[in-house]
Amino acid sequence: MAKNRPTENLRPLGPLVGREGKPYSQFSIAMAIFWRHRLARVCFYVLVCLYACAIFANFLAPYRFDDEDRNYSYCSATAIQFFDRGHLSWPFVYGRTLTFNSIHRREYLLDMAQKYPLRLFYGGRLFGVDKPGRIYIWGADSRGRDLFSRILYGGRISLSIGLVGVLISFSLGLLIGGIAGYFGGWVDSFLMRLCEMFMLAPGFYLILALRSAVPDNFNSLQVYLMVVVILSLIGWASLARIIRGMSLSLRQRDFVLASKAMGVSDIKIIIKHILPHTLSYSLAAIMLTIPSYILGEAGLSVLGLGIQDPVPSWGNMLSEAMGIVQIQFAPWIMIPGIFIFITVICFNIIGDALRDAFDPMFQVEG
Amino acid sequence: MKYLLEINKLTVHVGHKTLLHNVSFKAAQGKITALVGASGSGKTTIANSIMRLLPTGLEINHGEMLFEHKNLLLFNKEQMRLVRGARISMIFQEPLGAFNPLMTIGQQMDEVLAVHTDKLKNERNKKILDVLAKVELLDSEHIFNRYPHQLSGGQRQRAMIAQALVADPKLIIADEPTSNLDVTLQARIMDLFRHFRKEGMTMLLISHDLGMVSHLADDVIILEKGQVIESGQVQTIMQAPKHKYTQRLMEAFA
Repeated sequence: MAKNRPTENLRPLGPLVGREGKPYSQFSIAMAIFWRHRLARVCFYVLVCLYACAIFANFLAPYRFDDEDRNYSYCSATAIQFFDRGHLSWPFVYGRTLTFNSIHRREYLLDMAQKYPLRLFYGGRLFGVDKPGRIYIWGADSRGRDLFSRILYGGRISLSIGLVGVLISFSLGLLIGGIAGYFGGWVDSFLMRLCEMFMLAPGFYLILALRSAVPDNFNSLQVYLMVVVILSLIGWASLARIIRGMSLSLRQRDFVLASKAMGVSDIKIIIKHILPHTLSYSLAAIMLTIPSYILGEAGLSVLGLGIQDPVPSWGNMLSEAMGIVQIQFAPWIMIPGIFIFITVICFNIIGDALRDAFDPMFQVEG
Repeated sequence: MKYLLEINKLTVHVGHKTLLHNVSFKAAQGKITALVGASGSGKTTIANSIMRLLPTGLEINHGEMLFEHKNLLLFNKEQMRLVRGARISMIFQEPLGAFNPLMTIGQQMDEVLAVHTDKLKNERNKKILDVLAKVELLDSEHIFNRYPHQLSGGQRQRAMIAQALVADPKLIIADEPTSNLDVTLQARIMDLFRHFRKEGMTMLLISHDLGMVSHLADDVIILEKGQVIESGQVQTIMQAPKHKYTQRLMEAFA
């Protein structure tokens, strides 16, 4: 990636001195280079949209995540109608009636007799329809819950778990790696053996083992926090090792000795003089690690060990799609997978672009 | 004569090798004392010993280092940290390496002040600008916001000196402060040091350049292979060097 850069994505960079004659820091220069990467910019906006949808799920989703109607189990998507018998009309949806086809499969037929007009700002939500009508933009799941609403609510968990997880594991990894490399000696040996203890067990089995240690009677928030902590406990060790290596070479630099000679304390030297030099690496690594948390949560939830129904996460919504029959007759229940895919791809592209932007070998053109 | 720093029989080993052997000298208050010797003679090891910042493997075997009549070797880590920068500070040979490339000059000087004083942010800024002006960096506000690589070599060395001075230390150790500068800049930095001496600053100047030392220092200590071979007032030694090694050094810079 670093070798053959997509130069067509690059606009010339402006002057490297900001307003009022203050020079740009290395960070802001890297950000300017990053921002010229068109694809990464698109991904950034996509993620902003996804996060905004998750945050405003209360308003954007027509139903609460646990609003179920068993009469509409696996109901297919409801088309919003704009024409009533050839005449343009206010958007509405038809009612659905459940029948069974020749092979005894559920089939929801449109009931032209019932019409439910789309209501905007309905009950504190952006849109909805009167009961007993239901609006299913992307179809319903086994309990007749709106998939669209559940995806928006599920984003809250799936999208935040990466951020919280990375926050925990990177604080741990940076600090422990920084300390180990800076002090060296027995501190280093002890901390690195500790890292290896976490790295030596295969990740997913360690997650399962830790998960089984969690009591069953936890509520969904507690389970969420447990899942984050468990995932973070796996993630920090490999990062700590890399940061330790960087810190080991950084502590030899003259400016670290100079700071010591000026009486700056060790912990301040680590935080202000060592760790900022690992920023270029760690920022890209953060972006590339977030997907692994999203996937980790999905993996746990698919197995039923993560977030518990009825609280949705993209992972536990996908667990419904594990049977071939469901996929065959209600393929829309795989839509959460598409969201996981998009999110993961976006984070990866942004991570790649950040790594390039912080690469000192990157040629600043123009 | 008051002495700010007295080194008595300092011996430093690395493994079985002796780097410094029974080094003793005194640095008088308000004067410039120079440590002169060829490379490998142990000048920088003495400086690092005083700061208690010897690289791993190097150990002080015995001796005492009295700074303001207190033995620095008996200080614990935290006491020593409070001495560094505030009571004794150091000017490094290579200012580009000694500044963190990710922080502006102002931020780095502020860090030193924040560690050693409880002044408020705007008081610290004022102090930093004062010190930058004192080392004759014109347009000190401009320099304050620069990153190290954006300054010229001479400006960087002055900024380095300013950083060493910012917490008003009693003793400044200057490790080859001019050897990376060209001759005109060297002369101007030396002028600066002369000016500081007039203000009563005590300085330990480390140099291999006997010519520069003869113009600047009051007292001189000649080192060879980790031992003091000659010491005394600069005029005395320059006029009548007793030791052969000193004579050779003088010839080299004549």
